[in-house]
Amino acid sequence: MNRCDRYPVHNSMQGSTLRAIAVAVAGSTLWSGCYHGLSETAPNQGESSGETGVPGASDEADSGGTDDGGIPEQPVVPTAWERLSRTAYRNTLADLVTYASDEVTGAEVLAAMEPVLTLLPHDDPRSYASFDQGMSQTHVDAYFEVGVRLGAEMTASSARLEGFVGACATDDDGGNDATCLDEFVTRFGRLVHRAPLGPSEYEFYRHAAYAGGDTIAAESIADLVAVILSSPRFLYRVELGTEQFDGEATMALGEFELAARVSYLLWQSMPDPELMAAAEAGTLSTEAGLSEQVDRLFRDRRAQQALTTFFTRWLDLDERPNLVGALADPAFAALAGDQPPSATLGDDMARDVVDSAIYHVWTAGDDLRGWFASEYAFARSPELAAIYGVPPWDGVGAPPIASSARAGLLTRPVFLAASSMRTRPILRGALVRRKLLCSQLPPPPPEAEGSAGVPAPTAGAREWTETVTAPDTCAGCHALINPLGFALEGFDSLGRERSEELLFDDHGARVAALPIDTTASTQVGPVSGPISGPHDLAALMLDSNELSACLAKQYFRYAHGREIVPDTTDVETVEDLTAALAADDMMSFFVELALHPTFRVRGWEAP
Amino acid sequence: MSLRLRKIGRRHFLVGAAGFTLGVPLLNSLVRESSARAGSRPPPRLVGIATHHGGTWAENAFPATTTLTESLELFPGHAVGRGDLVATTDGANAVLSRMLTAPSAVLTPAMVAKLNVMAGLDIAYWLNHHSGAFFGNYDARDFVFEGSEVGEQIPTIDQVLAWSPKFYATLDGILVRSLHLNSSVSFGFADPANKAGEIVRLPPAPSSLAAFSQIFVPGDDPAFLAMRERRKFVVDRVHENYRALRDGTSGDAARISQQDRIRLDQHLERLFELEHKVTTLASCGDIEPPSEDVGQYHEGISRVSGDVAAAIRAHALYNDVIVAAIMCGTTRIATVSVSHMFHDAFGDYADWHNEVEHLCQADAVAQTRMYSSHRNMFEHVLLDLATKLDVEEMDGFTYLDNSLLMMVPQFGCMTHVHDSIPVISAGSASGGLRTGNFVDYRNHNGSALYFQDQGGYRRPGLAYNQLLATVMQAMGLEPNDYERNGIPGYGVTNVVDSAAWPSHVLASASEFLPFLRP
Repeated sequence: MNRCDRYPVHNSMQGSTLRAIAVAVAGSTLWSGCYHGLSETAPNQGESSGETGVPGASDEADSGGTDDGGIPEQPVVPTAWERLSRTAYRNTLADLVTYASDEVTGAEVLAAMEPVLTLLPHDDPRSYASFDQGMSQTHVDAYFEVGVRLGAEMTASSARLEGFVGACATDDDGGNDATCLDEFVTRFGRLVHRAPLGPSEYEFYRHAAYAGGDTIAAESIADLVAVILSSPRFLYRVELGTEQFDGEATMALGEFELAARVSYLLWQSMPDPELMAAAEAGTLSTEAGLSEQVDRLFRDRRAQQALTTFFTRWLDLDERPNLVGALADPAFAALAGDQPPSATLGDDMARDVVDSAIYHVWTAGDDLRGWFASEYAFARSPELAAIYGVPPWDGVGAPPIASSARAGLLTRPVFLAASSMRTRPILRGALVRRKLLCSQLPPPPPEAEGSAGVPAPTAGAREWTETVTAPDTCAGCHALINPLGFALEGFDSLGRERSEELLFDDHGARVAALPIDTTASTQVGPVSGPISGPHDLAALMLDSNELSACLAKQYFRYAHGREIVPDTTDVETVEDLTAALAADDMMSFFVELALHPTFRVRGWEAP
Repeated sequence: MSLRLRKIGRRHFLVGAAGFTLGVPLLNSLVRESSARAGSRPPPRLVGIATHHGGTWAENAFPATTTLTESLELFPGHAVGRGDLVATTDGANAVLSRMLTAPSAVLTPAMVAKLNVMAGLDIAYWLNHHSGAFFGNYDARDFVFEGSEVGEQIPTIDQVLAWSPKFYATLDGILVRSLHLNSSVSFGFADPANKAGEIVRLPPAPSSLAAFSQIFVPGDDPAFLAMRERRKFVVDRVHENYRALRDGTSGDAARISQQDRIRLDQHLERLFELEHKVTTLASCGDIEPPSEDVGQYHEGISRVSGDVAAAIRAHALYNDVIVAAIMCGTTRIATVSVSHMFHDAFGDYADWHNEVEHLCQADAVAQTRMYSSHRNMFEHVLLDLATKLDVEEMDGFTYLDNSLLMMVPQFGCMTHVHDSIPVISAGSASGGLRTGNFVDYRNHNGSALYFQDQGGYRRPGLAYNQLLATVMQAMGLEPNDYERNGIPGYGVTNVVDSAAWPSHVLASASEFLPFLRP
């Protein structure tokens, strides 16, 4: 995209229009043309590659697309205040209780809170949790019950009251009660609001209790807690900018608002005291101050936990086949042989991917290629290690090196596993296309259902796949999908390396040993050609730039909880992220978003 | 396992799947006072059951067309038919069709008389996978891609009803307008009170115990009653807090954007509902909360499990919550989705998807697995719930009689398409719907649909929109209560083949479905 073609600074698009466009674009490469075969390629293909002059991440003038004031040239997508996701809410509540008392009291209260926390509705699991911004009656009712219960638990005993409010709340001196209450409202309110209370807010909470007055009573404190826990400033990320704001289409965030944005991006929780102090000191508005805090937060284990949710959702790591259930199928059981999968194998496989990300991002400081083409097996359990054919990893030292037949992420068992005797080249290929290349494959057309071929019982996985998808109505899209799966045929349904494909009958008797064919011809972005196996496929993906662009898009979607909107700062933000991924290590990439100029502003529309 | 009701003096006791006891004082608190006084039947309840996937051939889904004994020339050249729903016997089973088969002890003649089986209800354009068409939000599709026609998102009928003053003429005793279980198939306005804002998916209760807590009120608990005023006070303060931010008492209202203001307004409306809830007086009699949660069966009801026993148990627990809600009178609407394939021949979604769902049009073995799974859903979800509700509520009518249970699969008689969606209902909606029918709205004289599956008989019928309209009429609404811009029926009206579905089909979509008017 030519930067000159972009909208001027204050050209504001209506939110509904932007959302409508986003639905169509979906931040993904669209493949509707695949119905007609490979000749029609994706409309957005190559748009985010280096050939269009993506600015370098280190170029301050270009990287954020900002003018002199740090305000982006393109319109920033206006969005409503973000509701805390379920995970963010729970993390925030846990941190709030801990910061408001001490670890022991906090842990005691949180344990008592657990039953009522089960009332919190789950976020829509079909995308990143941040995409679900609905505020249903179930949410509101649950938040209320949690607040009431937290108030009750915080005041359930003199010790608890003292732990949260202070000794002044339980001593015999009634003369200090008013001051005691003042201090609690100020301190607790600052934590809940993630910013100091304004004068009117202070006054409101100070008199929020049913009993009222200046006397400390457990019921009064409990009511206050219940009220403030349902506050908009707790449930939403309220962003009002600074007092200097006078109605432009782009609003610069205040210090505490920026602190919250950074904290929820990297930790999925509220700012800790150090980050709050930085906001209070005004240092987050400086490049150095923000960079220091972002770096600190990213190196904390909570950032690893947060990114675990990103990788899990992006790569569908929690949607795994039921390998244990498949043992009821004699053919699958025969294939598994002396390695029947246990109930924990699926979790081990998912953790292999998460560990690989954590290791290569935090420990090794690698770039995308280092993670994607990693030669290591992060198999903590003996069972998964046996599938890799390596000794188990202790989770601390250097991970064992997997067989050279493996080609990093593509050949990690979690992406190969299927609970069937035959592998699933279609699912493997579709996963690579959809998840790693961000291609949005259309569903089969209606006429495909009645025309699918029925494979012979003796067909191997490749023949099975080719037969089922042979009709003209299927072949166009499957020409994009199947080859990627065929390249991974050197691994069986448990993710084990294999040199031949074994077929078993319904009684588990071996009926055939078929040769493996991993050759195919495919296209990834602008790059196409023959491939002979997973290494070629991995190289094709890395060379195409599609992989890095996809990761950048997915991380943007995860961070902002919405699709990418064309002709807004979204586009250049993703371009900058893609460039950062190409130019630097993955840690720099993940940090880049929090440091990006567009992260410090929000789109704004007048009511 | 089954929920039983037996008389002990003046009280009915129900034993739920979890072994919990539903001790129900007959009539005194469970029957709404107004209807008891008037001697009329209580206002009807709706339970929508959405089942995973579909693609059961017509010949396996429906009773034989030879059982149709009445014919009506609805439009020139388009006759529709009706016959009494009668089960045949096959060993220990009663059989309406291969898919609609259950033990004779469950699918009794009396139960059969309370069912309807409907053929020939079509969504006349291609949706593929969806999660909202069951109850009217057709375009809540799982796949939206360039070139596809994206229709308008609209509320599902459960939400049209939930926010209709005709359906809920009073909220006395109502704790939640609608209850949603397992994964959600319900959609509503972000601001339903004002029918404003975006259409959003309504999250299901996170567990069966959480759902129970939504609809349960401890009976005559003094502590609970004493808390009401204090909780109301707290809600009022919360309300005040939102208004203060919105109006600028705290913060700077001038810096609140359009989107943020909508957020606050929508939240304020929810707080009105909360206020009603914390002050509602209702009684669940002696019902004791269940001790078992569906959570432990979560894996069993996921799409990747083949654990049928776990799925049966899980849905029994969900059904118990629905039964309790109806008997408490604390809601009149529930939706539940059945995401499990209810078949243990295959262990996971991948296999099921490839070897059953995608092959069942052409492969008889796969088709058998497909209808068998839906047979399990029929028996263990719909009939389990119907049986539990089929206990006397008043004057010779059961809770089932005063309810409408409606089970709908994701697809029609062919995978990924939506013609002749097999709709199975139970209960007469307090007399709003005639039961005991096999109705067939397919135009047997019409040409075959634009492509024909290899195992079934496919002819266009009436619009699914008409079913949704009929249900809402049975629930007491009139066309002008639900029609959108005066368009008959309910749902968007895209038609892919106007020869198969002529304009008069949609023009009649607010008419009560033939043969079903009492």
